Amino acid sequence: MNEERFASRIRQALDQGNEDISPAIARRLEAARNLALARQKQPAAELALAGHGIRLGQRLGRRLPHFRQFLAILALLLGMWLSLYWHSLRYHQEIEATDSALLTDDLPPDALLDDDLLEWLKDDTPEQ
Amino acid sequence: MLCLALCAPVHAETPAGVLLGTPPQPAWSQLDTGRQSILAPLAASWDDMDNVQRRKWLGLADRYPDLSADERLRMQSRMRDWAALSHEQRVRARDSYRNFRQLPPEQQARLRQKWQAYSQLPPEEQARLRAAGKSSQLLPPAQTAVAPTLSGTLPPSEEKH
Repeated sequence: MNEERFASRIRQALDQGNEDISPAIARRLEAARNLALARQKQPAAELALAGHGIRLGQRLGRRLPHFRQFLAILALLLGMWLSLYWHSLRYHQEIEATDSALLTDDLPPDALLDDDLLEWLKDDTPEQ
Repeated sequence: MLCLALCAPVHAETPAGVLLGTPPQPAWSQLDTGRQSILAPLAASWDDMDNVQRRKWLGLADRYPDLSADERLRMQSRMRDWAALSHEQRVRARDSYRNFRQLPPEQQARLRQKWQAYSQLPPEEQARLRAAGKSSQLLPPAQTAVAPTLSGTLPPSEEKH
């Protein structure tokens, strides 16, 4: 309750003080308020960047308007390349395993390329 | 393009994603002497290979020390011919080999044995044998008799019981 009463008194004092402000000072205060509000909007629209890079990002963002788009494209390209690299790694592992076994097997590649011969050799049915 | 590259089957044409995702590989002169010695049959064609092929061969060179003496000889003797095959032929041979390796071990062993016998015959005899009869005649008589049992069919004398 004491706090509410105290706040009410402050409000009354401010209201009375407000009435005593001259029109010239009121205009200057209004101009200063508008300026402060205008400046407040800029950081709010900034892309939120974490860590120490935020100020650098904001500065560069103001100086180079397309910096953020450039960063986004760079990140996308990096992600694409990493994905392709992983895919190629998997491909190479499989091909290496197959070729290593194939090139060292008793059965030579020539026989593997002759489908008819391979089918004939697979057939285990006895001679009639 | 990314989706197409990533969705392409591993065994078909080399996917575009693999071509793009394979970093540049060393030229022949940049290989160390150990690798040059292992990959010697490919010396003449190395610099004409794309990065995907070079990387594959470098991977095989890394596996080389783990091979037995026989396997090393076989790989060295087959390298040049294998590299000279077209991409489609290599894909077809790999598919055949994967299918072969999916056969039961006994059938794989019989097929290898038949191939050994077949490859030692003169070409005319090979042609005559393929035209006239079954490949089971390449096996010794004792194995020919058990072959149907291994593939799941009992010989007629046992089926009666």
